[in-house]
Amino acid sequence: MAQKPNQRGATRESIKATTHNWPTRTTFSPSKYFRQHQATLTESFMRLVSYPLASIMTVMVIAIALSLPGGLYVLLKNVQSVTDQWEQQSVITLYLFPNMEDTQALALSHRLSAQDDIASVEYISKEEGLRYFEQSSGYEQILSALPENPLPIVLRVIPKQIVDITTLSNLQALRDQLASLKEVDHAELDAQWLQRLANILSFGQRFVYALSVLLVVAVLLIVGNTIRMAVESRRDEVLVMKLVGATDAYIRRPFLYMGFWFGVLGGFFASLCILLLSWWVSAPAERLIDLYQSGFQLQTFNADEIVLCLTISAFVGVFGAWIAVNRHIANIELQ
Amino acid sequence: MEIEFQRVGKKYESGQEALSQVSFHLQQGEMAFLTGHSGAGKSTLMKLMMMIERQTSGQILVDGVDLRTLSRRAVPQHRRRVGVVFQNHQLLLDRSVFHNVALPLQVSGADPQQIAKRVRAALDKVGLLDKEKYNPMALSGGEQQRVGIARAVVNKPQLLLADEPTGNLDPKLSAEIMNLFQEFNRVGVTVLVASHDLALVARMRHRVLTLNQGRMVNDGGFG
Repeated sequence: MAQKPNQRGATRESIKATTHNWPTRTTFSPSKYFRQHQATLTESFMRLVSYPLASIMTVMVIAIALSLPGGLYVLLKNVQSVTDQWEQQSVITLYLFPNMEDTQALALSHRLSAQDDIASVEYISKEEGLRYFEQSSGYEQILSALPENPLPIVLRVIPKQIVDITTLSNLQALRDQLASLKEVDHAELDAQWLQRLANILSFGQRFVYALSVLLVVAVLLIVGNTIRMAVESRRDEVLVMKLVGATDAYIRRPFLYMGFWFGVLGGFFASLCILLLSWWVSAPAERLIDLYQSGFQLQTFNADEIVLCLTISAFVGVFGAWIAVNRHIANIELQ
Repeated sequence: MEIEFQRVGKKYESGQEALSQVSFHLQQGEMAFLTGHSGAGKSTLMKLMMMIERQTSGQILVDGVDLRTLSRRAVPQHRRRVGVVFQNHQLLLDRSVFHNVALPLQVSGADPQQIAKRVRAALDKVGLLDKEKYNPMALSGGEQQRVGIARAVVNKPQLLLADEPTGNLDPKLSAEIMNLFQEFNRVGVTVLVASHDLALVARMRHRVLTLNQGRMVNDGGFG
């Protein structure tokens, strides 16, 4: 066959011109790396936009799954901020042994007042106790019928710390310490209701944590499954990219960014949901607060928490994508 | 690129033996044809060179380097030095001719201006410069194959492999494609073309390697 020059626009010169200067080994350059990442970031977002319905559905499923633990977290935060305001002067009542002499008891009282964590000690002698009891209980006759005063000496210890949820464990430790003194028969911290509340709150906290873990795992699976389908639908592209020398990292990258976008958008809409929800309940909640005339302010997601929510959801998105991509890219080979 | 097969065998897990005791040496800048019936092992041999599959026995040396010593991470680097053309061209139909040809360059992280320049040069070589914006689907079979060739050479590979590149083309187009390969060979690229079109192969007057049931039965001659 006769060779016509320029038949296809190709000349020996043009071939030579481009075949000279063989590519030297690709070297790492930060600007190139950054540019590639930036391009992939935009590309993967555009890919989501090009399938709006499927993308919106995935994002909304993630948003709902995340807004549930987020919403419970806000609820818990509010309950905590209410209970944090319920504080009272704490009192540890020490009942001394009945055979204790006044001098010994007074010495103890002085010793305790000198202690750093104790504000003051109120000394209630047996007689004062009896008088107080007679006034308040209405058992005068029974008491007067007794041969001797059955009441012990009582020390009312006022700790420097006021009692609330946060100081409860400190005060309990102080109570235990005082109870172990040799003069003390029995020590009582007047905070049982607070104890119960603390238990309920820690139960609520654990419940929210457990639910959060479950739902985060659910998001991981949702993202993983979506990315798996995306890899499957781009099978040909992955195959060709492998054949022309794409590294696994290069092939993985757009899918990881896709996971990132799913995560970030899901987190964004979850935050939006929570903000809307808090706004919606704020009117009745404020009326309720007014009734009790408390200084309490309704809490919602603050900026830090929104950033945290976005970070966690982005991380979960990327991680879910990573698992799915690693599993599936390896399986795509030329048959 | 210099290729040396030393008693290479490939046995699949199913027990099927695709290649056995295959030895040959392809010099730097040489052009050769690989012929044989379908199922003789031509594609397997190409896949071994591309490191899509690994041999089960023997050695494959590329520029003196045993391919078995390359790590998984080195495989992409190896593939960037090898251009491949397939019978079913493997073009992506969701993007233009330009972007199909650009893929090997994008993958190796070339900068956009460089990519545009090189893609146009490659398209010029195969005579499709005016079709860069087309979708591959809008092109004829011969044109699609030439896009495949442009993609294979855009990275300036040192070895060009073609697996039945003229399988679906008429004799005139086939001859044109073969001439194109010959031109790349003339500027120093090592070329290996698998083809069962014996008449065409004979006309090209290059070295011919013939496989039969996984064995090299002929090496040399003109087919």
